[in-house]
Amino acid sequence: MLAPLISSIPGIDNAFTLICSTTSDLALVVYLLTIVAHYKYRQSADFDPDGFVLKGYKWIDPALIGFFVVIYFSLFFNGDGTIPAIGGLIWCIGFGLWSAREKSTITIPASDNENNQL
Amino acid sequence: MKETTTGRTNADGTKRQLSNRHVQMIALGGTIGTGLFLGAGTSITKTGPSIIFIYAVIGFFFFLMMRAIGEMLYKTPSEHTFIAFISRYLGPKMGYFAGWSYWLELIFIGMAELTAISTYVRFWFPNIDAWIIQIAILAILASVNLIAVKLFGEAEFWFAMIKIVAIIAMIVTGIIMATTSFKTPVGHAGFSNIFDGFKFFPNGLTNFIGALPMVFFAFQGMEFVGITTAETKNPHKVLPKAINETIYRILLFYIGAIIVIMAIYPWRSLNADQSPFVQVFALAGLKAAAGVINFVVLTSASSSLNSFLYSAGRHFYQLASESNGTIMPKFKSVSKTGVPARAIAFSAF
Repeated sequence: MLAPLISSIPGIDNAFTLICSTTSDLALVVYLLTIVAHYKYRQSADFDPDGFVLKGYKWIDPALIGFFVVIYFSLFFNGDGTIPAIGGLIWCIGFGLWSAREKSTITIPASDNENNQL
Repeated sequence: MKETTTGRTNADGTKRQLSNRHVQMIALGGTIGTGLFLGAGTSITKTGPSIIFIYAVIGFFFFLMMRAIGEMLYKTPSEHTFIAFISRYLGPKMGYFAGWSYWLELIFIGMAELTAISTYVRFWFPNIDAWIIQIAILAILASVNLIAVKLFGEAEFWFAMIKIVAIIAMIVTGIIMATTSFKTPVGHAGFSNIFDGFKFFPNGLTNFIGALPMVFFAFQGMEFVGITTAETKNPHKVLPKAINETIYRILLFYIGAIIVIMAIYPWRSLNADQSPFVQVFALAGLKAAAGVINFVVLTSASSSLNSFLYSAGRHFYQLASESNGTIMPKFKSVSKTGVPARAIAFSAF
């Protein structure tokens, strides 16, 4: 419902584009974490050798992580990409610290209110 | 494990109603979007034919990533999102961080698609205010998502079908034009156009690197395959098939479309600001090209939004499931039709 609101107020359009690119950049971080999780899965007791196994995870997973890092760096070569890429890093540090301070995922009071306003 | 025509119901009340064709189309629908129809022109003009190489390499990495996600989902097919594995193997704090970040991304991209949709609709109806269109579209797609997962799958199937028909039509038109050396205002169509005066970095290394994120984001959305697993019939059969087959199709469509665009239109004369599809169809003599492509792009954006809404709803559901706070668990409820209704409705807002 926020989108109709935004398009009726022209001034915040650019800010919106900026936030949009920033959150896209965050996907790279999420993908990266997913691959780290996969690496841990392979080393955990959960690993099922009869499953849908990705062979050669020992070099594929690090290669993927390297790939995501390279793509993130390439954002800085893409003119408009620089500011969102920095924004993404700031978000990771800021929200990362916030997440680390959480006692666990158990309670989500303040951030929940923020998201209600979206 | 009994399979019935109506599908199986999971322990948490969501239903397994999606079949292989739905899952594959959801992935295609999420991936092939406005990025190809409108954005391909920009990335082609940036670095010329070596863009084919970039698409192939990045596509391959996406495939490996999907295999990694696929392996974990195969093991635990009841998970609604792959983010759950971050919580499981890297701890709840990481999961919390990734879950909210990813959900935010889906919401913002969804909003961007919605804004785009209203622009396309106004191509025909310039007098209607953008916000009215947006609310109407949102209401339609939210109800598609709320009614049942099967209806969502069906809607997505047909949306994706339109895109695929458009791409195939362009590839076929292109091949015919290229093999008959069709005369165009900018020369002759032909595959020699692609490698005419070939250089790997025709506009320098910086532009080559700058094209990487564009191509990367064009592939984004492929992970939606992983979000549908928990609502798929017979996931142990469908999941590996969907992952292995989707990548070939996506590569075929992307790389095929780009080769054809460059064969018809020498890439140095391509206009980055206009859809390359419109430019190619217009060259082929299709007067209504702009209108047709506008229709395709409209359905394309609607289908992406549809997928994003589906996905965002599931992610929010996941966030709610992992939370023991006072507000979040209210979104845990699953409606009678087997969709996490409150989570979807909230994401729609």
